[in-house]
Amino acid sequence: MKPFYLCFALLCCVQLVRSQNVTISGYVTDRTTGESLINANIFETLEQKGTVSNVYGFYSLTLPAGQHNLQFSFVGYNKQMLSFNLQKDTVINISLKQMADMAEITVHATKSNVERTQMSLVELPTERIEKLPVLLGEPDVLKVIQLLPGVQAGTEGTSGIYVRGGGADQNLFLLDGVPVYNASHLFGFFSVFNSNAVKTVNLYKGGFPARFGGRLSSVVDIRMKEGNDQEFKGEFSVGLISSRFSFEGPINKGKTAFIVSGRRTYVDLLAQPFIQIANKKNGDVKFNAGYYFYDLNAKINHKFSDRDRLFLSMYSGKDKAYSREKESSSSGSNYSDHYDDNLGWGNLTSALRWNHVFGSKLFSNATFTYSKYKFDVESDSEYKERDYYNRDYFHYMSGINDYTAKVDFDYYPTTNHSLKFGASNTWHTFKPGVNHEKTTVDENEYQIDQDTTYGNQNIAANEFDAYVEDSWNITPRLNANIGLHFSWFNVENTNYTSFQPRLALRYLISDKLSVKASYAKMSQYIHLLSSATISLPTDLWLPTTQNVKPQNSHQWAVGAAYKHDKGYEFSVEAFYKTMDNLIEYKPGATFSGVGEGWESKIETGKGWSYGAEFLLEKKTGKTTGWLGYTLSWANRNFDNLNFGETFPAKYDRRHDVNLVLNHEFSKKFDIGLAWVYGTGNATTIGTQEYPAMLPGSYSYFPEGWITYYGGRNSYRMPSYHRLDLSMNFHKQKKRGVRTWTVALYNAYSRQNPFYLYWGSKKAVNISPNGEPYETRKPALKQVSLFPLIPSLSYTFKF
Amino acid sequence: MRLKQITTALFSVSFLFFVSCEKEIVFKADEIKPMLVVNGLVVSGDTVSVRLSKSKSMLYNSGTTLVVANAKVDLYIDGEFVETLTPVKEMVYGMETPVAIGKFKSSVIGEAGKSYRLEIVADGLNPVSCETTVPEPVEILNWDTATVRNTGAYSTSWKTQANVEFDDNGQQNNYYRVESKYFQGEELLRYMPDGTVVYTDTVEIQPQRFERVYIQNAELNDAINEADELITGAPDNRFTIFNDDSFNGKRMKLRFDLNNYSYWYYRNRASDSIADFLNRDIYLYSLSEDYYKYLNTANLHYWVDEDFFFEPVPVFSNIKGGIGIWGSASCAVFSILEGNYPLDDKVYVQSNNSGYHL
Repeated sequence: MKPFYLCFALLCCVQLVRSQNVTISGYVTDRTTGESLINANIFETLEQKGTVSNVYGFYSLTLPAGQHNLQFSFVGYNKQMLSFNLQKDTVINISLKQMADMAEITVHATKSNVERTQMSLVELPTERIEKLPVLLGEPDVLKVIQLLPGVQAGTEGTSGIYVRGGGADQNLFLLDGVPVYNASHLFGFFSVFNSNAVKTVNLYKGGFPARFGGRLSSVVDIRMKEGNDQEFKGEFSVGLISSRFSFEGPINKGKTAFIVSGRRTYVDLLAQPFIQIANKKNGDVKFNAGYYFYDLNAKINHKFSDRDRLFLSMYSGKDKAYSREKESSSSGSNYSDHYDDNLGWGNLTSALRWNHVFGSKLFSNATFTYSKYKFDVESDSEYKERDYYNRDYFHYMSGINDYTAKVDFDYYPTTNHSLKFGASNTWHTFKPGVNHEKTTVDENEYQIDQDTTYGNQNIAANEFDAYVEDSWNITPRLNANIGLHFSWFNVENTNYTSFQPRLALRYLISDKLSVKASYAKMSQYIHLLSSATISLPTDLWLPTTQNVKPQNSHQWAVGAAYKHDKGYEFSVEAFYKTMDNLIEYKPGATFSGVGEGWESKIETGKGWSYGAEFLLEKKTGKTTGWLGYTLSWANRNFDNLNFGETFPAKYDRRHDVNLVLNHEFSKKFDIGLAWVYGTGNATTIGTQEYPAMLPGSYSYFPEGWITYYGGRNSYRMPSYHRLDLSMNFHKQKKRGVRTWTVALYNAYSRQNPFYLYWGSKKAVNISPNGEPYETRKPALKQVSLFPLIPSLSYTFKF
Repeated sequence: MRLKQITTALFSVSFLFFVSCEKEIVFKADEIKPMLVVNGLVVSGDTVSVRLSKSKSMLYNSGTTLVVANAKVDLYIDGEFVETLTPVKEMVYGMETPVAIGKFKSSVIGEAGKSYRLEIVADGLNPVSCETTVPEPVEILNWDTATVRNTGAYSTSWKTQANVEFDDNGQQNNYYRVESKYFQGEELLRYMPDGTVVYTDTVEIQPQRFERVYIQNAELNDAINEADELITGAPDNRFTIFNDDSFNGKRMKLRFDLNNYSYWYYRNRASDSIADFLNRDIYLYSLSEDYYKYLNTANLHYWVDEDFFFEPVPVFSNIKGGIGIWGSASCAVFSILEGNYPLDDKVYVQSNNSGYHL
């Protein structure tokens, strides 16, 4: 690899000293809201050279001195042309105006996939997310991502994602650049990302740019809105199980803006009247139980000058389930008995970010972030009766805390090069689980007072990352993104380092057709210990240790993108990915919760996946949407699982089809449709039985039969398919726009498999004397969730 | 366990809102061909035998074993053909003459250090082969017991604490199993016309039974209990097996408890009978690796069963072309007698009842 990097450095130097040029730089923003426009096009029509704005809307374009025509564009916005004679470095901040007739262009898009060097990237503006059918009135970022080729959903209804044969823990969720460890609410049915606060969502499935690291399979880069710095705007939405709101506006017009948004479910509140009625019938027993989750996002930013801007953002979200019962009697035995169980988990993230422009060619972003995930369960029971007192208290807690300091630079030395480089350091504190148990018994002469705390010590780890990447226009047709990511992980006096080269190439065959190729190595230093069957909040994030090595992956991809004049885009990608040091529980072990001795409970192995993804998109016009198809294989091999034989990954899915359509009939009415089809998930289920040979044992053993499974994940559940529909009715009101949304989840009520088990069914046998009698026969049973679920929500934007 | 209860309860409540239904679906693997099942254990000092049957589809609606009686079973010892095993016939309920029960018997007695291979051919099934080498027995260096009150129990009870010392062979991986069988005698009572009760000269001996052994060396149980106590509960080491990972090549002091819930304990401590007794035979087996894996995975297999939170555990098999286990073991044994047995002035008779489980 050395000669390669040497050539790369030399070429950069040649470009730097090439000629006397001048640089135009500045920000591209939305004229109405002041929001920065990410990936807006800045194109010089005479030189035929251009660039795009970064995630903060900053751009820099170096051109020869002289006359220039500059075109600023962003899909959905009016183009803006500037002509001038350029003699020195110049700052031009441009604000673009949204098109008046949005019927022509209903979905924002940025650079076409044909032109983009980056492959395996899907951009999802929040407008697209909100137009799609929803579950229980809640638009969900991750459920939309599940509709993309190469992304498999987990079990029915959950928002977990499995990208290109990877595991659920191999996805990096970044909320404004801060990792979010548990991205789901309600056992995975909803994601934690409130669409009201989301500006853009970018999903990287491969060809990862060097600036990303830490997970093997995907990066979900979610950017929150910055806040409208021109006027106050708001939105609220009331659904069947939850309500949302967002409010944004200027604190100091054009300088300081804020946005705050929130969401809360209220099934617990709606259930209260029914619980009260039940309690009235129960006499001395008072019962209460409920569940809710909430999200709160807030962000404030201030422009000190054209060179300096400060952002402070935070997210807080929590799930809580509780159950309480109290029983007392003042007559007779005169006792009181109560228990109180609480289960809670949640994330807290915050980021302080400083953008500084050092000159027309160098943009910097310094960030301090904090991310915390905490899970705790508490149980308290107390019984009193005359001279007797008994109390049992139990508390379990686990989680992870991260502090990160990070600096990123965007450097634009010439028109043909755009460099990004930076470094970050993260201090992890893993809290694998602490238990606190307290037992108090007081009964005349018999007394117990035990107070015990046990569990694992916190594990501190340090992770350092550095990267450099160059987006290089080698020729007008050939572009490359070449980079190197370095990471160092220190835990328990053990050091791991990883050099991860990244390469992406794009060759423009014509303006409408390009071919692409990419390679990326990724390393991951944390592991998720989770239940084999479903994602739960008890899942534990644990670090790489001396015994458990970091996960690594290599992914190669090739593809082509084609753009049709009428707004259609077609892309195809083939990929091959290898992964090592994957972890799975040993047979019979399960999610730990306490994490004690977890290293001895896992097996490590390798995995590989390959396949092809096809995506036909229509981004403009009254009808928009996409048709995706994925053909893929995902396998695992562990020395000590499945007796060393290769087996399919749990979410190995041979065929996956997604059809997503949105049609705007008028400004007052539009509909959304999503249809998904997937080969059934792989599962392990008994196929045969045979007699056991077990030694004589005490009491009721041994059992007589052993179930033969024919291999791990060797059985296929029935295929999965589902149709979701939504209708949006908009009306302009005096103070804003109201929208009624009627949605049908699983419109034809398909009974999709959640899990399978062996049960029995009634049967009629004939006895030897010819008499029929009722008996039972074995039967394979399928449990399904989510039949047809209608929902209704009301949204008002002002 | 508490966390599991809470999680499961809340999870279940959540599902109540969403559960669509449960229905029967077509089992697509029904056409899978049955496999020859080989179950056999070569124990040093015992006659070599094996049981043959065939596997059956999960949809097969009967609890009966599908015995394979028409097989040809060739036995090889240390690579040399020795004999073809003889099918055994026994009386079976409902049959008037003895029938083949799928058991095949050899004239050979198992010996430690020798390899025993079977080559089996049966009509309609794939031919199979399997091999096991009988491990050397352990030499028990020392053992002692103490009977103590069981402080963990609410009612008055006792338990026997046992210590057994032996040396582990550090040249190889070793696998062990401890087992206890007991039989007890009860001096019969006679109810006199005046209302008094007196002991007779007759002692009734109940049939020998297995009893539960509780290994107390935590490191040995940890090797079996992969799951977590907090959430799922830990599986019992129900076959009381252990390996030498934690004491390879060293002297091992195995500690285990036996609960004394027997009739003998309750009565003997409250009466003046001198003829009641409890005899325990403690077996310390050394196991072949394959047999250990079989028992270990079977233990987890039954414990996990169809628990939603677990991946099912397949049971280990060393039968090439088929399924089952062909294992081997050697054993060392010692006895613990509590009470007096036999006594010259007593008459001992076998009980007709099945006795008590401990």
